[in-house]
Amino acid sequence: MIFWLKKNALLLLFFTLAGLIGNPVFLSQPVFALGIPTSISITVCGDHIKQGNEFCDEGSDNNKVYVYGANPKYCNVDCASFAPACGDTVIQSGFGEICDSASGSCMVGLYSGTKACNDTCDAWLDCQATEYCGDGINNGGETCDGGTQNCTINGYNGKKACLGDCTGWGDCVASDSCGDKIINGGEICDGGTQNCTINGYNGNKTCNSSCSGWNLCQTSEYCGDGIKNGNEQCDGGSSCTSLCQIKSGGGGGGGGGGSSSSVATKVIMEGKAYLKSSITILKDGKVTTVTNADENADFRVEISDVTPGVTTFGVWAKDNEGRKSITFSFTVNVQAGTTITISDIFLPPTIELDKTAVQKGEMITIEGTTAPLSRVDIVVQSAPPGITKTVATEKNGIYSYNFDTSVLEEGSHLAKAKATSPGGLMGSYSQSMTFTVGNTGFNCPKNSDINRDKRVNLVDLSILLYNWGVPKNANADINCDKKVNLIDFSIMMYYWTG
Amino acid sequence: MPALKSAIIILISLFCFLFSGANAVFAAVVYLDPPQGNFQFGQTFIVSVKIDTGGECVNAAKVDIAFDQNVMRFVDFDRGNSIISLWMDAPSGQTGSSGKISFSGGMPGGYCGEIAGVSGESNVLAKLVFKTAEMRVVADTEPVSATVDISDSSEVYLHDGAGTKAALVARGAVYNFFQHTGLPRDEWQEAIRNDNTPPEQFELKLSRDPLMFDNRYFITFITTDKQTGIDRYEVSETPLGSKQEKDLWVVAVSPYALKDQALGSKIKVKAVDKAGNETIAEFTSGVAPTPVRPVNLVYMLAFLVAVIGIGWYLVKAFKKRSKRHE
Repeated sequence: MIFWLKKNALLLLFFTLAGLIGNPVFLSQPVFALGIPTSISITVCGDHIKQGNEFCDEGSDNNKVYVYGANPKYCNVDCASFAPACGDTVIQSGFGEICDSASGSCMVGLYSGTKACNDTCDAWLDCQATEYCGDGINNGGETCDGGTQNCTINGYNGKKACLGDCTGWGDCVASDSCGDKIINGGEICDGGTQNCTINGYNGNKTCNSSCSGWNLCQTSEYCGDGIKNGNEQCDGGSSCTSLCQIKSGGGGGGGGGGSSSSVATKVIMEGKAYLKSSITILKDGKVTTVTNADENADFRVEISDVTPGVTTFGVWAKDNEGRKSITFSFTVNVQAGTTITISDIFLPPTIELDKTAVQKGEMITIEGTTAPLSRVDIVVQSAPPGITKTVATEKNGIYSYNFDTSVLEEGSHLAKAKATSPGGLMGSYSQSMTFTVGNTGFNCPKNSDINRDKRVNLVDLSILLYNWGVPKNANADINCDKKVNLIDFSIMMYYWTG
Repeated sequence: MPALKSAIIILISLFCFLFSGANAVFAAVVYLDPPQGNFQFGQTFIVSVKIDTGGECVNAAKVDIAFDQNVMRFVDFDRGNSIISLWMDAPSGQTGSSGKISFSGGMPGGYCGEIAGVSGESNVLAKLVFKTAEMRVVADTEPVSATVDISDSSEVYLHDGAGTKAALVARGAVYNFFQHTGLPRDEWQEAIRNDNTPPEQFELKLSRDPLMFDNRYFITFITTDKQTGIDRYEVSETPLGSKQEKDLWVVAVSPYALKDQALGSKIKVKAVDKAGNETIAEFTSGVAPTPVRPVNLVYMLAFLVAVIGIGWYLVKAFKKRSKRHE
């Protein structure tokens, strides 16, 4: 053994020294402490001193083979380079990185965007769109992005603006209008007056407020103005009757006769309704006559039992499907012995919806009746001006339109219609039918027929008055606001049938 | 001074009317006619409450009026020739002592303003009959003025089926009262004297509703009077077959719950106008069952006895026959 040691002493010394150098604990002490000459240069990776060819030396941290976070960056185990780390821009897929520093492209819906790498390089952060509605560029499946387009509405020229969500164009807003003194957009007139005659008297008529036709003829001539005009035989003088006719029997003197009471006081109503429809005439809210329109939808009614004085006449029709129009009414001060003729009445169309509540995108059928071969403008709106669709009726006067509710917002909407006859008569709007789109809760039916007898008359009014204030009968609360008041009364007046 | 005050008020009103929203399209204007006037102390005069719908159609109105009760007294309410045909509330002469009166009603089918070319006014909501205070202190040579105002609480509703309240402009009036030695005029009595026309014919409707009058039968009625207006309705219920010769009238309003729920009475309703003219409507529907009269009762009793007798005889005869067979 001793012989072997002696023989290999030099070799042992070499290996022992080498082993000591290789021992990190030992090398934590300065090498010169071991009595090794200082001229020997030894670079130690792990001594936290960047020496020699070392790229870096973080001491015991050199053991970390992968570090999270963009900083700091630690040395690798041989001090030759940084340890792989999140933030070194190199995707270390072996360490689970899917990204490192650089951003990627992505999509938000149909818009392009960018996404950034997270702090631990193992996931992308949410995509941030670089395109959006409002950037003025038509992108991301947009129909438009800002700006306006020319359009027409009810025949008027107008402009439509891009919707706030860039999904389409808004309602057309007319730039022409009733009141601009120019006849445009299907107007019959726009301001101005026309000469006319009424009961033989000369007068003039003004354009109505909606430019859809002329107001009734107005005259300043009358029996009693001292001027022989109209169909008068005379106006004043002893031989002239109070109706401006020359007294029969001639001569002066003569007996009384010819008083106004001997001449019938009449009101004549004529106009258009629906094909062979039933026509009901009201006098001061009470049914006075029921008649029928002919095969051209024309009607003529003569009411002769009229007491002179202020009287409100109304007319409504029921079409062959049992739908009722709203009441067209007018109030006149009937003078004794005169005949008042109200002509060119064109009753508004009847209207009915097949549903009162639909989901967005569902179709809703709007139908009704008006005079044969008429044009019907159907308006659907939650606020003016709404969407207008025009349809034409056949010889039976029936119209129908399937409306796509996908263009409507969720909520309550109404549909109404008005018609223009082939002869150019334009009626007023029908009643408004309400419906809801989406799950918007209860839709108040606003039914004025409180006792549900298919009539809105004095009995319903009595029940309304009986329930005035807080309703005992829920039907009396027509607008469903838990109160019975003038609002309910007003709605009842609108739907009055007598 | 009061004359100057009235002039200033009129000028201010005119200015406001011309330069405020009063002329705005679609604003209904409720106003008093005449807007100003001079009346003698002790005089009875009529003020019309009128409406200008501003091109819109309306169908219901509630008008609240305030006046100076120290100078004038509300005497009567004239709804003849009113465009309102269904009345909710109409004041009587007794209701104006506080200086406030109110009325409301509606126009079925709506009212869209006066029709051009037809003579005669047709925009009167109602007429108010006032009487000025009696003689003042003789030394007062200056006229006394008073205003009649339409309160802001007044309402008019559009004929749109939605119960939308119309924008409303109210215009009151200023009147001067002065001393005069002559006999004061009474316009209202003149109108009453000239009214010889009874109210319009009308019908009674019999109804029953589970939520009204505990499901008892009730009648409804309404009519109009084109001259001085309806003053009141009276109802009489006379049992059929009754020997009562005169109808017993009681003042009533529609709807009226019948006292005779067996419907065995003849029902009459009398509409009386301010001049005392009457129109009577009778209940003539065949709903009322024919009452069982005493003479009918005797016949029924005799028939019953005869049926029981025959039955008893037949049973006895059958038993006898059965015994014989045995």
